[in-house]
Amino acid sequence: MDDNKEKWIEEVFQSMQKSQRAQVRPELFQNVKKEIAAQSIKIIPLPLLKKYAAVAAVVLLVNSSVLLYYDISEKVSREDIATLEPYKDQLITTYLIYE
Amino acid sequence: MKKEKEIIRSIINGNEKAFASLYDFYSEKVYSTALSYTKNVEEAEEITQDVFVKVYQSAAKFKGDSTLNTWIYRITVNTSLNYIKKKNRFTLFKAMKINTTPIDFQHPGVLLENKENAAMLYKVMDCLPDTQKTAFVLSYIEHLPRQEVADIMKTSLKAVESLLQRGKKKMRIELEKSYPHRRNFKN
Repeated sequence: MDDNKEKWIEEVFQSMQKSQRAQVRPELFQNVKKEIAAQSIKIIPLPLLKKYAAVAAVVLLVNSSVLLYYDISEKVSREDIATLEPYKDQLITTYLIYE
Repeated sequence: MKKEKEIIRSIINGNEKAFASLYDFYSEKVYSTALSYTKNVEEAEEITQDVFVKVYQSAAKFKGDSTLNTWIYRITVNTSLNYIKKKNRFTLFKAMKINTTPIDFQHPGVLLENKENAAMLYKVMDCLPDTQKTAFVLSYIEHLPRQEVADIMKTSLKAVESLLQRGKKKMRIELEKSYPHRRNFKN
């Protein structure tokens, strides 16, 4: 009886020997392709997103710097003109030494 | 290995034919492994689909440290185990869990004379923890060499042998309990 039991247990362990693999439905590959297509729209890789954010930040910074510089330059020019204005007449009048 | 890297490179470049041929070669292995875990055709198909989507999306991460076979089997095992954990987590009552799992799972590829014993094998496999079950599935159902099983499980050959020994011991105890109640087709 024990021998029969042992034999049966071994047969159970070996029952998948010479078995064939289960066949997959051919349509499954279409489902795989659909899923990949659907997921490629949803997924934006984080490193790529970071790069885009970094580029946007650099562009904004450059633009802001240019605008700020332009604004400052404008102010300086106006200030220069305002400073020189009182001296304009004085320079002209001092040349008339034989009057 | 060189050929495997070429296939992976083609897949990364979006070559559909390369991906299709990879699918043709590995789909049965993946499906068969998933079926051993879930014992359910629809769930095994879902896992197979998930595995190949992961393979496609992770192709760039394949460094060639292992063979493609090892890598794909590893994804399959992890996806199968995660699927089962997720399924068990969302089961409200244990009774519901028992009812959804077939009592006698009939593997479609088993020889006719082994069907009864194979059904018993799948039944007693449920008593195993994940690591022992994985070692058993890969060795006795997928018929992979022990070293390959060790590579897939990222462990040593000795550890795999130990897992198999302990797993078979546990299953033996369950089989001994079932022996008097088995249906004996042979005299």
